[in-house]
Amino acid sequence: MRSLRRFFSIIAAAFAALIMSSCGHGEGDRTDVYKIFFPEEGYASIISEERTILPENSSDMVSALLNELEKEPSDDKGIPSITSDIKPSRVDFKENGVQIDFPEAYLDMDRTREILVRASVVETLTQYDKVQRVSFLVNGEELKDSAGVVIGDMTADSFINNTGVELNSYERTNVTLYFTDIGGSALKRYDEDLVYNTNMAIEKFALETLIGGPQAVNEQEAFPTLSPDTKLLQVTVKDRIAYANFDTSVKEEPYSVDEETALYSIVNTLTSLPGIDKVQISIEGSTEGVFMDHMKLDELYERNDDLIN
Amino acid sequence: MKIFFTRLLQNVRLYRSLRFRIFLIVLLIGIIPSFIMRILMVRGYESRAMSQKISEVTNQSAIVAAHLARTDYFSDTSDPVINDELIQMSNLYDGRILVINDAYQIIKDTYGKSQGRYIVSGEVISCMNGSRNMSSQDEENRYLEITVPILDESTGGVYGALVASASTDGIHDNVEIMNRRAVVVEVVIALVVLIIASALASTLLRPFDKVIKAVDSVKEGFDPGVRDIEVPDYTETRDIMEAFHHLMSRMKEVDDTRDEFVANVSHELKTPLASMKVLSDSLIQGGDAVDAGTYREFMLDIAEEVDRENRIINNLLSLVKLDKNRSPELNLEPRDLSKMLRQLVKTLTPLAKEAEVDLIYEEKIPVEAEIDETKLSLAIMNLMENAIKYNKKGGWVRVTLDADMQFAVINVSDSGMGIPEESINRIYDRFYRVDKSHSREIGGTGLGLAITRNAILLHRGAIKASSIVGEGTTFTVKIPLRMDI
Repeated sequence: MRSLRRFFSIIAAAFAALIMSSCGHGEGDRTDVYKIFFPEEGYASIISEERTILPENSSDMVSALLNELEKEPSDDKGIPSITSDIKPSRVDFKENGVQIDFPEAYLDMDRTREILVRASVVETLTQYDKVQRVSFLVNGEELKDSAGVVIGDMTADSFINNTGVELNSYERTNVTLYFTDIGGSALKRYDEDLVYNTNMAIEKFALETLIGGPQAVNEQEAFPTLSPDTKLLQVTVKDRIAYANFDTSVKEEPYSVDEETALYSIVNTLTSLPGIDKVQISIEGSTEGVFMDHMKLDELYERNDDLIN
Repeated sequence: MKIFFTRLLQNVRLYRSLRFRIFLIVLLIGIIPSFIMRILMVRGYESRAMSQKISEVTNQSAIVAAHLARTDYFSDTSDPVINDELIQMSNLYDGRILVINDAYQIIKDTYGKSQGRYIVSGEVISCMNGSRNMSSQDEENRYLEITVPILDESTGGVYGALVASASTDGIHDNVEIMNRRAVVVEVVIALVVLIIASALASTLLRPFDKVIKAVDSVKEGFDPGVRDIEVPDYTETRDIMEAFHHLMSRMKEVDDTRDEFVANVSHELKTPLASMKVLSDSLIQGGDAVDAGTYREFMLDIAEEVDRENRIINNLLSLVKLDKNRSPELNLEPRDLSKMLRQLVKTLTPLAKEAEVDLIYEEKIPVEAEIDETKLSLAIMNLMENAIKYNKKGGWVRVTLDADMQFAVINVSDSGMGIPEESINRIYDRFYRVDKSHSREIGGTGLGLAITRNAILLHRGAIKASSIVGEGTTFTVKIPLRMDI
């Protein structure tokens, strides 16, 4: 009985070791797994499959990826992106950009196949972190669209594979921003319908728009309250308090704006958003000292409507 | 664990209750349809509103697409009229519009975010190549996505595609409001049904409570009032009560019979004792004055009474033994019935002579049957004894034996006083006397016919009496020749 139990515990230990080692293996090689994109059968859309590629150096990596693009996908659902008739005659890789020269036959593809091949090649290559841009040549000349305009550099961002995700990633929303007038001592309220990326916190979007200045609002009389060099390091909301962390450039006063006006443009903008009552401002993560001249940072600021003109 | 089981048991008990079941059935019948109706209505509204929205946005998109096709928007996207139209539509549906050219490039985005990018999604590609409208829904993010081709009306060629998204928040909000209202109605219905169900459960079963009460009152002690309780509310309760009353009257009959029997037994046992008491008392009172002759006479009388007492007790015992409910053993053996009857006649001839009665025996055919001779001869002897005793001087007793294929038939007829018609069904009852006034002088225990009947029934036979008062009585006994027939 005891020996049987020992036998089972040994088996279990062996299993555990096997699982752990396989996990470790997977994690170590994760950077070598790339998605290879290719057109779906019938050129209906783009699909991808994961392949492991062992890199040696940068240019080998590019050619390895291009090589993978010529292979048949493992299931029958797709067609290789680069077929033998459009095999690139030359590939240049320098300064994070890849230039691929295709033969004349590239132009014979119909527009759907062409766009799918282009998207597959660009999306596959730009996964490699040393490739930022890809441009296509045909017989040494830059690829042009049907209107004769040069297409030029393409990035990972140039192609949208999924309309749903794309449509969903932006939303139009109403944001209240406070800028100042020409005197710099009063706040002016602007309610604007703005489009923002839903992956971003609305607080961050509002503050960045505020820093970006009044071009967000179609008003001639609006003037910025904060230096355009200001960087918002972080903004979080907890217990109805917004914690906004700026870099030191927020202290700069490039315009003749009162300290109060500048500070309350931040506070009022944030408290206009739902779920925020108070604002704690910090500079480089610290709440010691003052905002610009005298307004203390270690204080929770509430909305101030008296400054609004 | 124990608590769990107790609770389970209680639950089972609750579930087995008819009241609870009626309650549950009414409740479910009331609530389930309203629940289903709510789901169907809300779902129906949602799908209808959604398809309406889809066709609305698709139509609007097609109109805009047709407009785009008529202008040269694809070479110059700064046309303010069209841009206004796009923005208006985008605002109207709280969504976003993308215009895509035939190179799959986005040339206009009402959000201004994706201009210049290429769109290679399946919807756009199939729309461009298949030139048909596409629509899809995103339940999670609450929007519709419509893709329509922009077609050249004259050539049928494709200029590009228009992708429009429309928020379905309005529909979802409406669904939510509708659902909330429906839930309120549902809760109200549920409460009303709950009240109705509990009211029905208690009123419908109230007659059964009456039945239970009636039965309970009997359990606790017989209540003569129970006889009058009727529960006419339902056929079922009426039937139950009828059956119950039937049972009760049967019980009462049995009870009465037993009481009578006990009274009879005590009375019969007391009678000889009382005689002995009187006789012995007079001897004691007489003291020495009583002469030996009187002494002897009295002692003979006492001895006679003791015999009588003894006979009654023996008869009672044999009656108990013969009681068919106790299924005493029968010593069945093939016997010659003629021989048995002749022996009985011989035994009783002195008694008949003393009573000045002619005892006649007739035998049609000799009969042999499987019988327990001791018990059956006792039974027939009782019949013959009675025929002699309850006769008149110079009368006759005729015993005949006959048989058919299955049965032996013994008739015992007499020319005696006869039995009145109203008594003929009670003569087999224990201690029953037709004429109580004569019983003392005739003697007997009052158990003879009861014993006879029991013995015959044990043989699976039958006994029948027919009589005319003043002319005589005939007892007919039928005994199967073989018990296994």
